[in-house]
Amino acid sequence: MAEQVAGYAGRQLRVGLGTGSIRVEQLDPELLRKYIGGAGYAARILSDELPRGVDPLDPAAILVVATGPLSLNRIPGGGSVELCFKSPLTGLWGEARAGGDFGPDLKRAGFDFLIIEGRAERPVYLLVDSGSAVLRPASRMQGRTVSEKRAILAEELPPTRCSTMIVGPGGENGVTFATVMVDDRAAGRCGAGAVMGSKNLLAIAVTGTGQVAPAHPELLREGLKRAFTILKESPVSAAFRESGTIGDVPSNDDGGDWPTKNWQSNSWGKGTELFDSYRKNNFLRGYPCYRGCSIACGRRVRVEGGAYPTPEHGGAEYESISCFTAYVMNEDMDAAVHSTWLCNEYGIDTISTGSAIAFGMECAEKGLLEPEAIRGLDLRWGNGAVLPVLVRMIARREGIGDLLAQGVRAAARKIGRGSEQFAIHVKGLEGPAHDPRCGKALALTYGTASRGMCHIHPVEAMAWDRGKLDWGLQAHGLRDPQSLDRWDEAGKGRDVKVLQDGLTLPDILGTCKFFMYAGITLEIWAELLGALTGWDITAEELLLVGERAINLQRLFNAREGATPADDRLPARVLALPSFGKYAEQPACAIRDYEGMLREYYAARDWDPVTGLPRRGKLEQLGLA
Amino acid sequence: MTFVRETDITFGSGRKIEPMTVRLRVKGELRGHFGAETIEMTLADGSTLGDLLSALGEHWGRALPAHLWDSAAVRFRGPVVIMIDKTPVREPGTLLQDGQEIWLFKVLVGG
Repeated sequence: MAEQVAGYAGRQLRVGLGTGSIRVEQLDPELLRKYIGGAGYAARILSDELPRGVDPLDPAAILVVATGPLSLNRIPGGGSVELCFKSPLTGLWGEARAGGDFGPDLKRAGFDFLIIEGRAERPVYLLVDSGSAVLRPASRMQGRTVSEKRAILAEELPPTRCSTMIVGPGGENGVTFATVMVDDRAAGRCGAGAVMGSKNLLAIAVTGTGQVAPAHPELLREGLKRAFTILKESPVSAAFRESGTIGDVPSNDDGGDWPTKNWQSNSWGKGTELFDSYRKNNFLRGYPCYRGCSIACGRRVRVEGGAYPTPEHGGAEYESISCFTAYVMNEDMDAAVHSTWLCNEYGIDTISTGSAIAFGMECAEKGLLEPEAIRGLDLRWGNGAVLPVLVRMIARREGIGDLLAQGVRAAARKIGRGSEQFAIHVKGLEGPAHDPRCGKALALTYGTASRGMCHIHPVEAMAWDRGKLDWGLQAHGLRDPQSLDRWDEAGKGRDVKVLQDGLTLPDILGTCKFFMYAGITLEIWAELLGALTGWDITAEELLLVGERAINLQRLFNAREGATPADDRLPARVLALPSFGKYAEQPACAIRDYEGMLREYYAARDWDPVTGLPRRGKLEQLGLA
Repeated sequence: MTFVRETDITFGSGRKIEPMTVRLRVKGELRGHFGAETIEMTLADGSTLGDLLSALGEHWGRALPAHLWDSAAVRFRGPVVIMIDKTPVREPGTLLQDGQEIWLFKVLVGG
């Protein structure tokens, strides 16, 4: 047996739901060094083990729950876990990340990864407890909301502190963008909840007290001291703590980074007013999503009384609130907070749900929906009252909700009559609340990110182009953002490659990306990883691991049918906004996306016709 | 750029207080609105962060856009961070010291 790598629990748990088999497997040190963990390691597992072309909701589909070596409470951002799978929404690489204690607790329970296969005959949940695991009946949870399931679980779980993953009714009903709720955080995108629900696996609970042993404890202590000093002195840390992610609503609206009315514009002019309403009426306090987080960007919010009474909960994130305000022109913050809470209760993605509703409103406006399908629903722009109604209909797949539950791409294919023009997605994943007309690099990251138009991997382009952050990547070939105009296009294809390779690392290492925003560079990650594992590893090697993961996910997508056509953006997203502050600013429109994409392919050494990595690149990355 | 608020201020107690000087370092997006990166400000000795914000509001409130400045609450809106000696400060009652360098950042936080 190969020697275990320090810093890892060293084992993965393979659960066959069809047979009820549970198997403990030792990890391969060579595979760990090459892919490290998280979305890198999971890309290798899915590429090797998932049958090509399998239906994502078929029992043969695989769900990987992945930590990284840095998924530890004492590491900055270490409260982190990834779910990787083939997406039922896109048919391609699916990935969903969540904060919280689940990742560190899985390692305490003795495992770095869970590999879930098959389909249970009846609803079950998985309890992983201190090195062993058991499947238990979960029929009592069937059809219940997430908090109801959580309450049932609490009656059955051991008295020790447990972290949980739970699917809501959305996942049980096969909503293609169903989430997995990780305690009160959402692994939101790409439909992980539908995959888990299709397996009749309604929850996973983990508990344990095990500790991983670092190879060099003293070096780790010193590295952590340096890291926490940086975080303490970081204005970004302070801003996240003070404002949460929602704090940027006013300035993103002003800066043309707030998609509005189903992306007809990139600004609305209501952001400041809405933010003030939230602060006055909904905000309670900030909180950390995992024990030990020094940033604490989470928000506790509620709606008192009125038409949308909503209990205190963790929520009101920037993306969620934007999708239930600007996307649908809703000026009632209470309706938005309530609807996003409902999404979490029903286990459906706030971004895709808000996008689908905006798409539905535009379809209704243009008379493209069958009157019978929307009888009794007022789908006019700005009607906050219809939002919670539609959330429930989507989660339950009732009426028009059944159509919208398939995502905007599939819905537009069914509706036809030009609706494809305003179904805003890339690779089938609905667009999040950042607009590339605020900074052009974002267009490329939206077009080329492995999972599509997501809010995790692409957003570094916006933060570089408009926010002028560089994460220390100038040392690795990234241009100084201060030297560039956000509306420049030429040359950004090369920058985007560096940005992607660097900023995908948190999802491989098992940390929160916000800590890179706050000043933790690749050099510091490499130092911490080296102290933990004993590896002599540099920032350059980390970048190579990032590049390897991106290329492997690219190959996965290609074998599942993706082509360079899937790297294109909807025309509306490239065009001059039709109203708002930037409607008279021609420079904000994206003039030469094809030129940027050519530059990017060249920087990646991808064939411009097939979109695939060339032979030499595959050999360099050890993927040939 | 130098801004002198008052050189001799009478507070509610009626006592006369000597002036002190602090230096603002304005970073990022805010710099354009303030018109300079470094601003010297003279305040009454014993002034607090709240006094500083009032002074900023009086002299730059109109130049600052609504998405950054809440004129009713006399404070920055959204993710604007004030730091003294590498430490974020937010309590209006925080006492300022003569010669302090105070950094203002507009930080990007949308996730």
